[in-house]
Amino acid sequence: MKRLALTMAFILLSLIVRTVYSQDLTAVEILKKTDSVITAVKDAKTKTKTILIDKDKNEKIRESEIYERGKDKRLIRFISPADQKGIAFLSLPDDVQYVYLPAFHKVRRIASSAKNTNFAGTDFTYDDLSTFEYSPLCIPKLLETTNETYILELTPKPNVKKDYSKLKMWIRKDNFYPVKYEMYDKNGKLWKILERRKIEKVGNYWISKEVEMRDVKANHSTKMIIEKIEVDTGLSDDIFTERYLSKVN
Amino acid sequence: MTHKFAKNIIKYRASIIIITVIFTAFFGVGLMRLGINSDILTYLKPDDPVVKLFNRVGDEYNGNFLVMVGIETDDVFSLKSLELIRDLSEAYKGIEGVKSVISLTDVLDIRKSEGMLEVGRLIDKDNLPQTQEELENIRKYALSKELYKGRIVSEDSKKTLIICRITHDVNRAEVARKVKSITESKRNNIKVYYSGIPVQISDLQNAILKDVIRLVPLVSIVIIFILIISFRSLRGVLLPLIGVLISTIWALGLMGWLKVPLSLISNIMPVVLIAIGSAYGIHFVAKYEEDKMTDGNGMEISAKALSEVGLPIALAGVTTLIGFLSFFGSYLTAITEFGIYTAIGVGFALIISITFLPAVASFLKVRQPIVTKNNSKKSRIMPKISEIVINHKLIILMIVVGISVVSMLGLPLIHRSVDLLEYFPKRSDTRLSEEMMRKHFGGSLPIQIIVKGDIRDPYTLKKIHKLEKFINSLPYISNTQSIAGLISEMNNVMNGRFCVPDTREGVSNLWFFIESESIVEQMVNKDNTEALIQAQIATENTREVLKHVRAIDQYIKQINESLTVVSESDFQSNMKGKFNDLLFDDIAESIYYDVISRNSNSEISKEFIKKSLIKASKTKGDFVKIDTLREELYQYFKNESQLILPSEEKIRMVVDSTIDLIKRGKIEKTDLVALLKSAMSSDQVDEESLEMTANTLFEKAKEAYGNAKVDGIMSQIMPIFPSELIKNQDFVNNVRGDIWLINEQKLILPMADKGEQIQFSAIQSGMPTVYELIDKSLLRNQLQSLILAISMVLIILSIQFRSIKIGFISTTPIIFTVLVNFGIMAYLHIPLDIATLMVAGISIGIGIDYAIHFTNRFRLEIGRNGDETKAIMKTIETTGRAIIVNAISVALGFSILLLAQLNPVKQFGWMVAVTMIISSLSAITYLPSIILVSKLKYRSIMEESK
Repeated sequence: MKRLALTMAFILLSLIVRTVYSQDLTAVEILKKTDSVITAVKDAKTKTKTILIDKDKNEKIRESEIYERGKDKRLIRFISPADQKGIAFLSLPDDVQYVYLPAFHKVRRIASSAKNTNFAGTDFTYDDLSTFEYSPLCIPKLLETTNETYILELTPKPNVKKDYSKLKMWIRKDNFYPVKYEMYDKNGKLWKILERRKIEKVGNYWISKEVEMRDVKANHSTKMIIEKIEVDTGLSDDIFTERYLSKVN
Repeated sequence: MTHKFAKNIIKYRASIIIITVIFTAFFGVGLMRLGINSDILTYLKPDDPVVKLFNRVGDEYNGNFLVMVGIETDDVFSLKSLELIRDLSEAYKGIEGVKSVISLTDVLDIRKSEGMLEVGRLIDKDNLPQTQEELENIRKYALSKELYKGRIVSEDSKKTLIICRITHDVNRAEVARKVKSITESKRNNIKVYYSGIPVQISDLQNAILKDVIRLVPLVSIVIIFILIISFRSLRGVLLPLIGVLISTIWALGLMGWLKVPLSLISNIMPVVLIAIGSAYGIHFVAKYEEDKMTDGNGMEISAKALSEVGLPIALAGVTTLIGFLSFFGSYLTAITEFGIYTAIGVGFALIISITFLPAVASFLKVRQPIVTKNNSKKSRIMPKISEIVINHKLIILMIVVGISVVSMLGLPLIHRSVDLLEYFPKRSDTRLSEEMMRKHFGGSLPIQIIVKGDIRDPYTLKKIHKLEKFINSLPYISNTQSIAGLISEMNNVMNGRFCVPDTREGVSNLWFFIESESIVEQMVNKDNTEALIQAQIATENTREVLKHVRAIDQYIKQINESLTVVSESDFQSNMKGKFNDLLFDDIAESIYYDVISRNSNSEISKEFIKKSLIKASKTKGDFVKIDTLREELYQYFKNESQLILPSEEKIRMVVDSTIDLIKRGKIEKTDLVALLKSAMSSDQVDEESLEMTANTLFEKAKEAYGNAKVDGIMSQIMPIFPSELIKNQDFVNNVRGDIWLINEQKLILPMADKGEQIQFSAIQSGMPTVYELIDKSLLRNQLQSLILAISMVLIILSIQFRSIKIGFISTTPIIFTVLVNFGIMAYLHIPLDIATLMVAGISIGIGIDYAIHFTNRFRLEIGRNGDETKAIMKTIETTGRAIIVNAISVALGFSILLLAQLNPVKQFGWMVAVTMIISSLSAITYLPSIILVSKLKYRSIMEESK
């Protein structure tokens, strides 16, 4: 009798221990993992097609080449349409930004307070484009776990200034790649939806080859499609300079 | 025929009463569903081209209407005020129908700060300035720019505006109401002003509702009072009153069921119907009371009265109906609606007076009438009048003719008005708010011009910019905005010149920055084939507004559809001087507009500016900015150039030499290539980099030279302007941008032989064009209504009396009345507007009733005793009394409208009252006079017709 009871207790205990050990990850952990997946790429050179779609389904298409290194160095140069060819943006650490306007052969520095304005007519703000990591900025909460995704709710930390009152994130369980974001405005209304599609492995990294940002209020969306991508080619510092910015082929 | 009718009515009296009650219940329910619509835009015919354009612009460019909320505090640039502005702006954005909001905390700002380009917001709403210094800086900056000063913040920085743009297909009054209620809940004790057409519409709606609720009982009381005095019996009061209330319920209930709302015009319908409709009941009751003197029971007396008075009542009703129907086909649907439904209401009153009332009366017990003192009192006035008429008929006729002539002479003095604002009393909040807007912010009435063409083309944009400057220069017009102005603003920040760039690439590059700003949606359509120039006009005085509409239309006509961009080389060699002359002409015109729009009293003429320009252009360039250029070029070679110069000295050498070339005005690309080559050791030169650097250097040099030239002219020409203009940075920037054209050496001319063609067509839209439309229709509608009413009345009377002569004579009193009406308008400066427009037609319809009753009774009397004079006397003493009572009750009823809040309603009220008195008096004085004087053989005519 005593033996049986002890065995039972032991089995019960191990079951409990096992459950505890195979407990799901916390929201903070999930977010950290997601951040690291997104920022894993050391450098990348891409050729991107951007499609701007308005409420009447009219489309405006732009092509650009983008050079990125780490989290805070980026150069975007527009290739088409013809009258905007050569316009280029350079982002450097500490919120330093430059723009080159080929029509006037001029490089100008852009003030950082422009962060909340839309970039180049897209539905992405400068801030949207440069934010990859949410851990330092937001407090996550795990809302739901489905078979394939984690759904997190993020609220900005008290001293963080963001246009959004909260974000919802859908993260793939298998590779911690975020596939969807919902951004809510200060009144709690749904404002923007960001979706990442065509997620493929390029080299060692997970990359989404299609990203779409939809502004629900303005009934306008922007699709960015990666047509060509080269990762970790060791992009040199020379590329992230004003000189390179004004180099129009 | 009428006997038979009367007999039948009495026969079926029970059914008639039951049916009437059922209908009344049915229409009573309809009455509950009656709505109010004071949105004047919905009164316009949607397929009119002006209206269509107005609606399309509203649809495609985010709305035509603005709700403007003005906030007054001690200092708008204080943290507390900014917080309130922000809270309100954000709250307004949440209202359905508000497309965009512009306020101090939500406005596009493009500037260069510390050498950095900034396309953002004047004030970051998430990051309001906290320190006194920050606030002071923002104030200084905002007040230095015409984009803000006088547009969203007043010069004394005590008032600021929050401007909400309303989408097109939405209930405007409702949006205005929501804006108001949100503001009231947040403003604490801060003074607010509400303005804009949606606000006016909403206020009108409230005023209409208040008026209807207040005035209908008052009118009823007045009618009751009159009835008591006239008939001194319960049935004398109740019968006409019930009759008129039933018919009013039927008419309004019908509108309710048919979903036709009360409008700015038909809101007077209940009062009008009660005042008019009572007449029919009164005439029936009068005859009924008279007939009570003879023997008989209720049924017999009822039938007798009905048979005698039924036809004249019907006739009177029909003519009144016609008076209202004369508005059919009016330009404003609201006027037509008013005409139709009031006519229907009159028809109902008529039917009820000859069916329901007799039916009810027939059930009442007939008591022998008590002889009261009143009879004797009244019998003194009327005989006196008939005495005067018979003895002084010629004098009466002469007086009438005299007054008619004086009135006709005054006709040209009548002015028209479509000013919605005139509806409100002078001291009302609505009026005061609009006054504040006009004084400090250029008013709330928007002007719009649509330009069709290739909007990305630099020369099309330049033409738009010129058009914008012209419009801005017109008196009362300010706060212009267009894509050309925005691009110029970008150009100014980027390159230091406030003008449209002269290349397509330049335009596109600048456009890139502002593309996604919501304000661009208000300025250009999606595929960039159409642009909208907007401005505000600080007056709603109809004459001024129309004057401006025409001035703009005229200017637009001068701009051809096909413009050509020509350069000097397109001119033949013997015409080169002409090119320069035209160039200076163009620049002088732009500068002239710049001056006048900021200083409307300026005496500086375009010719003087041109002369000064030509003189100034002969001076050498001003190279005062050359040192900044030196530094710029140095930085360029250090950080940007594709060709990397080997050392600091080499950089300095190249920079100095370039500057030398610029100073001498000799800039050739080949020289620059050679210069660059000389700075490099020969074997290091990459051809591509060399080419690119030389290109850029060339462009920079050209620009520097151009700047120097312009600076030189500026220093010579600025002194001709008054000091307050010179201190205005925006003015200086504009002039500089105008003069920059010298460096572009291209002109836009209409239809030249050579050069590049651009398509350009402009058309005006906006509320002023809508006002013009309504204004044009006023006179047309007035004449139409007059002609229609008078002709119909003439025809009916001629048929009734079987003689055109008699028909015509019976109509003359009313023609006289109408003339007096216009005479009053002329000499008392009462404008012809959408309310007073209706006075003439209605007066004809109602006023003719008196002549009809008079003529009818006269006919009866003549048939009895043959003597005209005796017939006249009897008529005046009996029917004359009823006419006066009728006229007084109608006049008193309409006078109730004097208590209305809205001005045109007040005017309408007393004017109709006056016409009632005049038409009734002329029916019992002038009409008998002319009957006697005309010596027509009435008797024979009457006998013939029997």
